[in-house]
Amino acid sequence: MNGCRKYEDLLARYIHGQVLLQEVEDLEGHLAMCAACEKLYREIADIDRVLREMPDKSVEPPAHLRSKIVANLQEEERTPAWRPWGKWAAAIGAAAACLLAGVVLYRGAVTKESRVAPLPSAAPPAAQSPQETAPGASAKAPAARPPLSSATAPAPSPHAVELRIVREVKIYFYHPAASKVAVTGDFNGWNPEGVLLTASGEPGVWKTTLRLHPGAYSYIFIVDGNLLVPDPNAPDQMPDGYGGTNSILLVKGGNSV
Amino acid sequence: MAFDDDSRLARRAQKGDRQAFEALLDRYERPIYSFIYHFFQDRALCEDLTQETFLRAYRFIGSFRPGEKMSTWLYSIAKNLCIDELRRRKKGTAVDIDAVDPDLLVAEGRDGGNPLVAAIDQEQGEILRKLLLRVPEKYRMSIILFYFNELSYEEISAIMEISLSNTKILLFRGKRMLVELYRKETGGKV
Repeated sequence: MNGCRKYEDLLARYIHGQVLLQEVEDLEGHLAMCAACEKLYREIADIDRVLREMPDKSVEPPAHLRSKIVANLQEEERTPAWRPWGKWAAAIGAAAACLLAGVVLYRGAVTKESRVAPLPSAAPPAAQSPQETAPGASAKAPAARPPLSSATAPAPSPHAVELRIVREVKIYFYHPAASKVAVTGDFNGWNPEGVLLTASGEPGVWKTTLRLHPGAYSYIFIVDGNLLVPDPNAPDQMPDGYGGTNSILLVKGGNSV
Repeated sequence: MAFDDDSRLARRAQKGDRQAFEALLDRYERPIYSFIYHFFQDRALCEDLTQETFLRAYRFIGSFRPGEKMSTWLYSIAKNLCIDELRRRKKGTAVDIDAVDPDLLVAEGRDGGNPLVAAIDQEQGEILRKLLLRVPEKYRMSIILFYFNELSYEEISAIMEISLSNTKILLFRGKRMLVELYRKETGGKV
């Protein structure tokens, strides 16, 4: 059988009906010569027939299962167990910053720009000035505050120092079929690579954390490198000007989110 | 067309219409239940995982994309839950769904061994069903989706997130493992 390995792929395609004519000749020639492969081929063909003709392929679920599932759905509607977004987010949610997102506290959130990790690229609208309100959004302009820990902050120069709030925004996206998910938007200058999401541990759920200044951001998910998917659960959506849709992520200022 | 109906139902479900989701449940409860049942062959577990599949689908219906196939999406959720369950059972041991028992891939020619007889009888089917449980999960899933759920290669490749040609290889190797297991089980006889 050692010399027969190269025929494995061929045999697989042969059984599943996808071989070229010259490959058929090659394989059939080999099967005529090699008793072991010929036997394997016949046995696999037999297994194939047994599996095809197997009884009880479709198994009837017990009658009570449907009502259990429906009860789960009703319960889920009353108390969504794990849905930080969607219509509930919209309801609760001027509070939430978004999307699939829980906005999490970045203690020491108010700090000097020089101490803030730089954003991926283009500054978001609200970053221009703490007093500026993001366009088209209900984002509150963050109030300038003194650093929480003045001990660690260098002495401020009244002209150079701009106080910024940075919030960590957790992004979740459910897509069980994706092998790669990224998020891009005006927070990173619509970088085509985007910011990669990683597997969250929940099956099919992808996540990442963005550090953003308060403001409103347009964003979209990139699935498997080429498919643009707006967040279907974001409370706000807007046309992208090219016939598609972007989702809007609102990062609020202030201390409570 | 069922596909259009699914999309329409999904759109309604995305807007919070639970009746529409229940219509999808009626359509897919049995195939999803069958898939999970053949995978574990444990009715209680199968009930739990079927419930969980539809609960998750309901929770995440918002991420169902227009143009996507509802069956593919639901099977993907069920597949992930099955793999998750296997991980839980193995407690902290990562499940390598590519792992293959090397013994199962060594198909030696054995003199004197009878080829499997094509005659289908209940007993032979039952033996195969049991042996299927010993086939590594990725191969087992493909076999179940192809032979029991009777899905196309294309749909299986979408669910398993592999190429079409790898889907065929997976099916072939799965059957080859079954042949080897069958030989061991029956001492090379039918």
